[in-house]
Order: sequence, then C-alpha cells, then structure tokens
Amino acid sequence: MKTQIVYDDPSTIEGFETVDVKYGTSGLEQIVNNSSEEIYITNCLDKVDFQEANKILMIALTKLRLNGKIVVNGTNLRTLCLNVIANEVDAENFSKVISNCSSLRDSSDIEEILIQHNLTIETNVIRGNTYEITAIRTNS
Amino acid sequence: MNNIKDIIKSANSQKPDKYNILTFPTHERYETQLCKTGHNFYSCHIQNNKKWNKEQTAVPENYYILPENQVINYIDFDFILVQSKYWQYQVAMDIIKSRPLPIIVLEHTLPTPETVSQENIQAMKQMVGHINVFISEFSKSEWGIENNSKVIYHGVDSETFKPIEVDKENYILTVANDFKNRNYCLNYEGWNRITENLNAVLVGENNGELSKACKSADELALEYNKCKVYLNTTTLSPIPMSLLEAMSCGCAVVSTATCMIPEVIQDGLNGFISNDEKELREKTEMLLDNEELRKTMGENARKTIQNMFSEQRFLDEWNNTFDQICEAKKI
Repeated sequence: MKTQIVYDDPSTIEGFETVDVKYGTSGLEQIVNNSSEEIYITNCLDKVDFQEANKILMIALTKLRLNGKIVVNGTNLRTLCLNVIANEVDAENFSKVISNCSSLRDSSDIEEILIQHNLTIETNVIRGNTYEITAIRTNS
Repeated sequence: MNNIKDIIKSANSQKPDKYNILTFPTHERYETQLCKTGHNFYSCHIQNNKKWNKEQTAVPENYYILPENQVINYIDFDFILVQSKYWQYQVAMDIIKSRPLPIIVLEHTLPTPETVSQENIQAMKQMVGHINVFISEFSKSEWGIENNSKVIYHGVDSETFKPIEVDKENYILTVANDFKNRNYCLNYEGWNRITENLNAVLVGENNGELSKACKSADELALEYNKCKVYLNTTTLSPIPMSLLEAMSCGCAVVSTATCMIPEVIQDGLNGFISNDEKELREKTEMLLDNEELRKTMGENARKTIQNMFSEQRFLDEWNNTFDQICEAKKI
C-alpha cells in the first residue's frame, strides 16, 4: 500500500491511500502499523502547528514497513530566511509564503527526526524555498 | 531538483525492485497486462484526452492515476512510456524539458494514410524514443523505424482466455469497439456484407447502438466460448487482440489476411484466412455446419497462442526492455 498524507488538498493520486489531516490524525491512526510501502507527506507539515506536525510525522513513521520509503516536502525555514536576507525573496512574497503556513521548520530538523527513528536518508534536496527528503526504513 | 536526485540515486542505489513508470491511459487491457510486470505505473491524465475507462476495465492495483494535468514532482520516475504519437509524445516532450527522463515509445497502430496526412505521418516517423517498441514485425516495417527498435508480440492471458465447458450457440461472434467509426481499419462495412442474413453477434463498446462491451475479461471469455465461429474483418490492425483471445479460447476463427495475421494463422490449419469476402462467408458457413472441423481448428488455434503469444514471454520481454532503458539512463 502507498499512502499520501495531505492537508486539504484535492489533487491526490488515485490508487494511493489518501489521508487528509485537516481535521486531525484519526484517519492516519487507523492505518495498520507497518503496512505502507511508501508514504508521501506532501505540502502538509507547514499547514499544521509545530506540535501537530511532529505528531503527524511520528504516526506516519509507525505505518512505514521495513524497507519502506517516506517522502516529506515543505517550506525550508533556513533557505527562506536566507533568501529574505539576500533580497531574493521580497516582503510581499515572504508574506505570501508564510500566510499559508502554521509552522515552519528546516529540512535538517526533519532529517534528524528521521535518523533518530532508524531511517536512512536517501536524498535531501532543496529547490528554491522548499525541501524534499526521501528516507528508507532500513531496520526495525 | 529531480536532476540532482537522479544523480544521487544512481550513484547510491542498486537496481530498484520496481520501476516508477510515467505513462498515459491508452489501451486498458494492454496496460492491465503490462501491470503484471509488477512495476508502478503512474498515469498522466490530461484534460480532454483519453481517461481510463473504469466501467470496462478495473484499474490494476499498481496503476496510479495522477491528478489531471499534473506530473507530480515528488515521485521519482525512472522513465516515460509513450503509447500514442497523437498527443502523448508531445506531452512527454514537455515533461522532459524539466525532468530529463528516457522515453520508450510503444506503437500500437499503423501509419494510416486514410485518416492521417502524409505530412503528419512523416512527422510521426520522427517521433522516436530511446527505445521504440512495436507490436508486430509488420508494424515495425510499416513505420520504417529501425534504430533502437524491437518487437514485443502481444501476450494473451491463456488462463483467463481458455476453453470452457459451455453449450455452443449458433452464432458468429465479432468483438470490436467503435466499429462504425473505425470502418477504415476494422471494416464494419465488410463485416455487414459477410454476415448478411447470418446470425452474427457483435460485442464491444459501440455507444450502445450496435453493442455493449463486456464488463470483465471473464465475461468476454465466456462470449468467445459460446460462439461457434469468431469472425475478424480488420483491414488495418497490426494484430487484433480480440482475434488472439478468441483463438486462445479455442474458437474456430475466420479472418481477413491482413497485416500480421498471415504470420499467425495458417489457412485451413488453425483458422481460415482470405481477403475475399465471398470466401470468408463460405468458410464461416462451413464452420457453422461442421463441429468436428471447429473442434480441430480451435485446438490448433489455442496451441498457436500458447506458442507465440504466451503472457510470460510478453512480461519477460517488457521487463528486459525496462531494464534496458534504465541501464541506458545511467550512462
């Protein structure tokens, strides 16, 4: 099974198990532990507050099976700030970015959480203001 | 971002267990069979173009439909499988501007001067992939594309399409979708002439006007098994899948001798072939009246399918092709 975790996003992939966390994590919790071969948390963590984002990530990790892959993307706090300082992002665009966000974090924070949970980072790529991390659960 | 990811991935990783293949909805039945390779197929749905017909064919478990007009960034596609030069190739060309992926071009059709101008056919001959796959030698030679080209014959699921113990009914069966509109290649008019005053049954999606499609492959297999004779009238189809399925079910078949069909049917041995409508009708009537002949020809037809069009061979050849394109990608 492949799982996609979204926040109020109708453009999901048909054939994936889609969980919308806009109204909480109960849908996510209902998925059987260690049952997902791939989990995609896409444009989602930014939309919820910091603690909720942690919670989503933690629950998602319990659903990932051995050798399963997790992909997380979102706005990268450090890059965004650096781009503001370097005048690559002006106040208007910065405001636009943060208007859609309830929390922001850096990709290295996500990476650290994944590593702490015994995942191996396959890629961590920054493009513009966004990060995308792919990690594999290599042992239980 | 995907360029960088691809480089990292290819440097670090072994060959994946499953490839992520970006493709487009084309022939549901063919794609269902491709899905038996076990890889992940991501189908790019573009507004106003063909969508997967769920009423006719269930979506396989490993076939994922992307949101309309979107090519998702966070899926690591390994390559693109294009199955039509009418619109898919153009979309693929747009995609590779931002995501350089190798392309397999699978050609299901023949160049048809009846419906496409010579100028467009010439342009289509330039639309090549890193690997070009044709469904018959005939089709490959008609397109005249030699470089990086190969032929992968259809595979017939001979477990689904097999002889079933069922009472035969006294009719001639033909399976065709959009029969009237595709008269130029399926020869609807010829079919009408050949079957005039005979008990002929048509199955297939024809806007509910002429016939309806079966809801499943099992239902279709039952139709093949119930008929006494299967009639194929195509004039321009590399190798009609329905003809092969009928043969796999042990049907006695009568067919036009066009494209690749003479390579498959030996006249009088595993079916009858001719391009003379009068002869096609005579052979059809002969089979309707001769149970022993139907039985012998049907058995021979099934053997032909098992020898030439085994599903395992089809899957092996596609898996090799997928490995080949991914090897090329690394280089």
